[in-house]
Amino acid sequence: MKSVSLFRHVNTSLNPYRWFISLLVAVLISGLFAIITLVNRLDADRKMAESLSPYLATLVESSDRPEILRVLHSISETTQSELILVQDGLVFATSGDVTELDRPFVKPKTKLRFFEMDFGKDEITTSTSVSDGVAIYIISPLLPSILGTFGIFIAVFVASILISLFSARQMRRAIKTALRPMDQLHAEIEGLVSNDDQDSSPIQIRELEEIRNTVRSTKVAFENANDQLAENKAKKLSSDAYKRLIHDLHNPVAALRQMATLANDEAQDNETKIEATSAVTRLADQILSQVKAAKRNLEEEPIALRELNIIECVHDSVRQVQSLGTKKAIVSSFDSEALNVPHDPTLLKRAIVNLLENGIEAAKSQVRVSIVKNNNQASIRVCDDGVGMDENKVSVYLQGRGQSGKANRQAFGLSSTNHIVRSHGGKLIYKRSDLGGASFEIRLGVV
Amino acid sequence: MFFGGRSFSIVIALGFLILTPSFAQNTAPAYVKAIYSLPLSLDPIKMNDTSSLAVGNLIYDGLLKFSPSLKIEGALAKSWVTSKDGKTLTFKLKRNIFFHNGEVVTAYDAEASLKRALLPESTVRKFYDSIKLIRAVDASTLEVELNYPFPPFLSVLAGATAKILPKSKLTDPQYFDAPIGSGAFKFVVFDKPKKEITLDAFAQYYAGKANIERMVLKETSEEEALKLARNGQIHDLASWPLTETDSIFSEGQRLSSPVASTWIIGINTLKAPFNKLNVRQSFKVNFPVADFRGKFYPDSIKANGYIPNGLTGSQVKVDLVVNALPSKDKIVIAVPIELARATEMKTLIEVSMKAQGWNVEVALMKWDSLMEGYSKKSHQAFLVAMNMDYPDADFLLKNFESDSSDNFSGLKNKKLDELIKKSRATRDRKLREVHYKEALKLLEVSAVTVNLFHPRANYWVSKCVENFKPNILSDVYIDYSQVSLSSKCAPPRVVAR
Repeated sequence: MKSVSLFRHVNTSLNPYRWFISLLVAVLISGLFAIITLVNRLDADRKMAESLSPYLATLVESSDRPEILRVLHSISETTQSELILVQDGLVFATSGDVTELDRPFVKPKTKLRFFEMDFGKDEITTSTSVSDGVAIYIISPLLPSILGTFGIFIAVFVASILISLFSARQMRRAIKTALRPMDQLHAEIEGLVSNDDQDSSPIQIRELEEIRNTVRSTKVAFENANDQLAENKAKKLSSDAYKRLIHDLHNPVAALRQMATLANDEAQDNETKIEATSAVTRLADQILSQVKAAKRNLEEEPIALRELNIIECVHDSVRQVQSLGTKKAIVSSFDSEALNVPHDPTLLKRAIVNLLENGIEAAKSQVRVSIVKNNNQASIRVCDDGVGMDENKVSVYLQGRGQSGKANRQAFGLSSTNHIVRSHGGKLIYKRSDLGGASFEIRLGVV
Repeated sequence: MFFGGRSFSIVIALGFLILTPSFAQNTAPAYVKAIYSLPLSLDPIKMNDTSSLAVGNLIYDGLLKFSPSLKIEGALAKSWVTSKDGKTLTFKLKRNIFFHNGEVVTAYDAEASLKRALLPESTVRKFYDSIKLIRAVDASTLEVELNYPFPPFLSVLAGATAKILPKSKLTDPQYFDAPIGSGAFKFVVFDKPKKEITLDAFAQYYAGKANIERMVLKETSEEEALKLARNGQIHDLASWPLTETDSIFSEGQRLSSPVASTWIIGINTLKAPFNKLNVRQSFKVNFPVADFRGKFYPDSIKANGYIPNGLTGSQVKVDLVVNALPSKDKIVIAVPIELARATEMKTLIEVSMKAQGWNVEVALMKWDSLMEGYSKKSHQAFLVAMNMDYPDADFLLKNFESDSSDNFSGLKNKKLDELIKKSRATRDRKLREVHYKEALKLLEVSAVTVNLFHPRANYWVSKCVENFKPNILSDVYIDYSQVSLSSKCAPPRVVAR
């Protein structure tokens, strides 16, 4: 689903109502105006006739038809309506056809009565009493009245729509302005995430300010919990390391005990006793070496896992090793520029440096370091083109019991590296390298 | 329309006419309007009959005019103002208005024309007697000063007698043989043998050239006019008082409207037995008004009194009682024979009055004879239609002023005279109404008129005629400049008898 801005969302959500309400209001106002205009227009004619009623009554009393005709014509020319003065059912005067004079007045047929107005087929008729038996009828042509009314309707409708459009435009601006604190909140939260809260300023909207404070306190709580978790994990790893040490020491100690038993067993021949005695020494050294390695690993600082870019960690490691001035090539190959993995940069860099140093020591000409992301795992591979290791002895070296042919350091390095990798919840895997030498892979879980 | 006394009547002419319209020679279709009589005069100050007024209204224009609904509008005048005291009216004339001969119409022409209405020979002087001074301030400004504020004066100026003629032609004794005006139509020919007048549309008319290219006004009787209309030879029968049930309407358009007119039996108080008030009152009560109206003009409006419906004073009604026995003296009522059902009218009146003990004879006579007797006040009684030149009771009341030459009744009533004068000078509309009502009550009690009805004009026009709009004052004021002939209709057939 495509996400949209809050402004667009609000705007889009309001659109149907805005148009419907605008149209409804425009129609209602226009209709109201049109009706008022029509009623007023016709009522004005009637009121004019009413106001002239006393004068007309006097003229009727005097039977002064010429003067009444002049008055009616004058009104008719102004109002565009036909006026008929009826006395006792006969047309006494009219602004229309004089042939109707002294004839019975035939009122136009009424199709609809509205506000004392009789709507006929072609005309609207209103009337007002002048005196007893005398009334004046005002007959307005329907079409011009309706067209005039419709014109008012259209004009008011257009004006209402324009006002609505202007209001809508102002409303959009108001919504935009109203949503600015949301943008500020967004920026503030981003700042919190990136630990860049230098430009932080209070948000004027109380609820949003509370949200920001909540986010900030949540972040702090989260960091604390993370530290606590890392500490707990470190303790657990230490416990696991002790368990492994105990487990790893079990066999050598049992063998030492066996060898000591054989050396002191009178029933054994001398050769066996000598071999057993020498084995005791060897086993004792091995156990001592293993204990030393374990001691050193256990002395490492407790790790604190942070979700950071592991590629930067590898880069730093390569740069550190290269700074030592090796003549062998270190070839880097990374899938991407950023790969976030929870790790302790200091410890993991030490592990990678160990592997790189071992690789350079064993390599003939080059060491290749690569990072590959595979599903939820990140693999850091360090390969060399040396002679490789005896795969049967790899576990001995990883446990810290093996002895390097060149220096003790290697065995301790692999054991330490293995320890760090395990401390990260990962695995250290050995394979033959496609370059011909050893290939160590640090496999870590990706977030 | 129909006949009457001076200044408000119509002549119905007799005879079947030979119809060879002059328009037959023209390519443009002519609009043929039938009239009951040829105009008796083409001089606006001498126009007494509706036919003359109708023709004059086509040829001439005034400063003002009536709209179809009696609104007063500017014709040659662009604007006008009345002073605060109501005595001075100032008119501004429109620019670029022309007479038919191309001369520009100016305020000097207006001054000269309106001053003519005050001349002794003017038969319409009574409408203008409120004028104190007429003065052209400049070529486009005319000022009229009145002796007293006379509110209906604007209506008088919108009437058919207040026409503007070219000053330069007024001294020409032959001018009215071929008159020049500034109206929508210009005079072409007055063919007396053919009894028709031909007018052409005036291209420079201020309101735009009329849609009708040529108009022919043809004198004919009602019966013949109906026949010609059915044959498609006449477009317009607006001059006849048709009823809505006339079969002619099945073959054309009927446009109906009230008009400011009143049909009466005029009673001459100078002739016995009408010199007695109680006889006049009994005669008025006994006259079969309802039967007459119901039988001959059923769609007309019942007359409460003398003044047409819709005008101030029309509500005045006086219930007279029969306070004298029917006179044994013979009473002759003159009725125009030109009326289509004149004989039936005669029968109805005679039978009805006889049944009530009156010795009444209806004399059917030609319009000319009737008018002659009317002028000489020789008739005892006569049937006339009073048409109004302006929509105000003043117009009709003036006929009963003691010193009016048009006082057909011979009535002399000082109180009535005072009320008429007082009402004319009253600016307050309501107060003037009070004076009118009092005067009209006096008139009704005097019983010098039997008020028959107020007609509802039913104008027949051909189906080819468009934009014909009645005027509720009178057919005289129908605006023919807007009337047109449908292009779908063929020109009228020309039939020679």
